[in-house]
Amino acid sequence: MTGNAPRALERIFRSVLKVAPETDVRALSAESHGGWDSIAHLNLILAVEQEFGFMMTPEEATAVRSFPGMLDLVESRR
Amino acid sequence: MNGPGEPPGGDGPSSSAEWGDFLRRAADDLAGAPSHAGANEVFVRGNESPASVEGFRSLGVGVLRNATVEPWLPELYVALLNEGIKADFSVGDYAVYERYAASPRDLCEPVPEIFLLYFEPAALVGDARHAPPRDTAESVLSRIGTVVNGLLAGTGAMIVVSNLAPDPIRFHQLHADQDPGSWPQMRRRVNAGLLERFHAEPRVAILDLDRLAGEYGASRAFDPRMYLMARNPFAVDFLPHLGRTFAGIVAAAVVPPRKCVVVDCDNTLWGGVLGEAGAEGVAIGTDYPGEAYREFQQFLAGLRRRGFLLAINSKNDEEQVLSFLADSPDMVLRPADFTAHRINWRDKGANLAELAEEMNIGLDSMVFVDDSPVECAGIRSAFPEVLVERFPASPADIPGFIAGMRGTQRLRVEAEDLKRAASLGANAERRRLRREAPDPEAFIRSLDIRLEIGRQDRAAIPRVSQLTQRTNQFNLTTKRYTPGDVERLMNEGIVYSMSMEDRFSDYGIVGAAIVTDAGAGGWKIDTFLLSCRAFGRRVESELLATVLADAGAAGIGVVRASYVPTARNGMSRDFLPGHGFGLTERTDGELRFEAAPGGPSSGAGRKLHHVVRKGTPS
Repeated sequence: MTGNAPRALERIFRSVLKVAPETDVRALSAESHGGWDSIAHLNLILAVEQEFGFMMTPEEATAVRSFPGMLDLVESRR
Repeated sequence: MNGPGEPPGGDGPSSSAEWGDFLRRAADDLAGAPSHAGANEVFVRGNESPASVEGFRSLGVGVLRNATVEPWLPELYVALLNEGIKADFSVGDYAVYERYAASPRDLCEPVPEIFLLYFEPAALVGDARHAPPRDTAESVLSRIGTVVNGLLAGTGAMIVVSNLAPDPIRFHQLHADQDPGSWPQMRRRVNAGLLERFHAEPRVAILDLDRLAGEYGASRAFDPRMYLMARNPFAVDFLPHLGRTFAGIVAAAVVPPRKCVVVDCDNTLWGGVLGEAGAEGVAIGTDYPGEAYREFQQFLAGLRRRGFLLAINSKNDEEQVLSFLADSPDMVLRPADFTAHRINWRDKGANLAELAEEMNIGLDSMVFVDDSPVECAGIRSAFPEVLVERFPASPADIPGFIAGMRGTQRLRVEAEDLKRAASLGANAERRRLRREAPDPEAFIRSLDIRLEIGRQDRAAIPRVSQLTQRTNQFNLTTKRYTPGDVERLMNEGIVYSMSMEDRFSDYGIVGAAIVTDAGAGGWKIDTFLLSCRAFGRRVESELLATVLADAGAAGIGVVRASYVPTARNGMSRDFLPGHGFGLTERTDGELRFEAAPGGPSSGAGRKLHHVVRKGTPS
């Protein structure tokens, strides 16, 4: 569906989270980014599921708290 | 994923026009290819746009809820943008309704113009769904009713009430299908009860989630996993549908409605090219693809019955098209169904401008339907105010086109809409009388016009609001009012409504006047307007004479009125000076006038109309 997963994921993160252009999105985590609140988290889950066409378990959705973590999850489902 | 593209002006602020362009394009892209990430981006950026953006109406929207609605807001926001509305959402605390209904300012200030009430059955009824007490439906209805009535009383807002959707965790319970006391059956009774309670209230609209979920497929519309996890009941792919329906309701409530659908002929009213294939060769009838075009004609016929004007703008041979429309046994629409037509080889833009003039309506009241992308693009760039809907190339796509066609939705079909449709048919007869009358007064007398002038008539509120939204030409101040506004103005001042009948038809309410500051120090006419259907009959003089007579009877010394020029209301410029009003002040964009109620008014001179009053002055 989406050829380049890291790049697609980066676009999603930039769309959903308020991220300054100079920020390195691939290093983002919920702890380091103030805008990553519970609603933004929910939006990230929905957008990632829609874009990559799979559904996370509630446990996965709760556990993923960083860009690298989300990328791992996406790649494990492809 | 389709991103919304670059925001205007790089990183810095930019003009209202650039923002308008950006939001319009982004929302349009997302309508074609929905994406939750893309909608989020537009929503986040849009929230940074200036309060006023060119081409969009800014609108406060309050959401009261007992579910996590925040993930819906991006899709709602984008759908509203596609209707020309830029929303500013205020979301209430979880499961709090009564407090906001009693004190709307607790939600935000100013109080929103639109409220969306969402009720998640699982949270509203809780465990009672498993074995509901007998009065469950009544108590749910009564709770929702109290909240809605509180908001109606405490605000002038439009209240959009979502009805109760099926419960995704309780699908497939056969016993419930047989048991009127089960929750699924009670839920249906709640929904029927909501409609029963509020259908006659012009400031309430039902967002029929039950229908919407059914059309989309309830098992796809909901995501029980998400509900258990985050109290968000809806699947992400359902959100654009929810958004479109909500935005449609909001637009029907606050955007001045379109009045006329202008259609092409070849590959729109029928399949194929009449000039090449001839009457026998084009597709219209009861087999595919002719059936699909017949469906579109049926849809247009329905619009006409609901008061829309229809017109033709086609590159064709006029005589051939008109005789095909008249003679083909398979045709739904006949020549008389079209109020005007331009069937020629000229530029469609020029035709469209002429049609607007002939029908006495603005280009911003028109929907242009054509299968040619070139013609559509031409009209879009020549007349941005015209709503352009490109007709599908494949007849198989016609049902989808009809279902999604913008500009043709009405929340309620007012009696006046039906009356207008009926009066269209009598126009030819009136034209004959006018031709044969020796002078305009004789023509007016021959129509045998009866006017009823209402004062503080609450039943007229929806129509008066509709007139303020639609009337552009004979409108002294062009102020747009929602039904809530009119209700408030009626409470604070005086609202006059004038209905008209002639020997051919009943036009319904065609004129309105609103007096604010109806105190002893002098009256102020805030709004004075006349529908274009009633032009040329001098009935506006009767309405003004009534207002002045009431002011005189109340011992008022002076009546003030203004004329605020717009691009469209030039015809009402001389109305006040022609009726005894003297100019007192000329400011930027406004001419102020005064008259003494007992003073000379040119009025109607010799009686041209029969006037009765409804609701006497208090």
